[in-house]
Amino acid sequence: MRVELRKWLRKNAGYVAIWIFMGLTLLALVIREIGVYTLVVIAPFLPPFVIAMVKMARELRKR
Amino acid sequence: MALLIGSGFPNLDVFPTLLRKKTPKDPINETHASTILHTVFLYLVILPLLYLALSAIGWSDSWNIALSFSLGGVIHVLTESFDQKGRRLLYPVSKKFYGIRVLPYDFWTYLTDKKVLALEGGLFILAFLLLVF
Repeated sequence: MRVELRKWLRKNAGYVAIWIFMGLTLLALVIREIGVYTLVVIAPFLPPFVIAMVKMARELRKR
Repeated sequence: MALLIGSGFPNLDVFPTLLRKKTPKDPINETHASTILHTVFLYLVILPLLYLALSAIGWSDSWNIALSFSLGGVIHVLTESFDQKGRRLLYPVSKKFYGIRVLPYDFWTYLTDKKVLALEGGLFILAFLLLVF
């Protein structure tokens, strides 16, 4: 499905906030549990995360 | 930690989806979740190989690490087989996608689906309790 990102984000801000809250809370708890080794767990996913963020920023800047 | 790494490992096939030029009309045709990384078979193969490799280099707990990694991968694949795409659960015997297709697959729909939020919210609370207490 293709969405118009800006509109989609505005319409679903509540869902986005819940997902971000859950993600950041668990990240904080994992860091508390395994400390610096968290980097080993998340390192393989940093490149796709960066690519996704760049694409998203580009999409938002377009309009 | 091996469980966490294993449970994230199947998602490394997200790269072709992220780097694609055009969005396919049907999200079910995406490369993501269609590769061998999203099969139970791979983790059954990895389990003894990882155990042998870790034992060979003298790691203690090599069985626990190999089992945790593989279990993480298998749980990931089985949990995701509840979406509309299903997963190649019987690979290499069959290349068909199997699963109980009750959840959406498309990313944007997934994020705003109440059933998904209830399931993920429940898992979040469970993980929260496990990590806090």
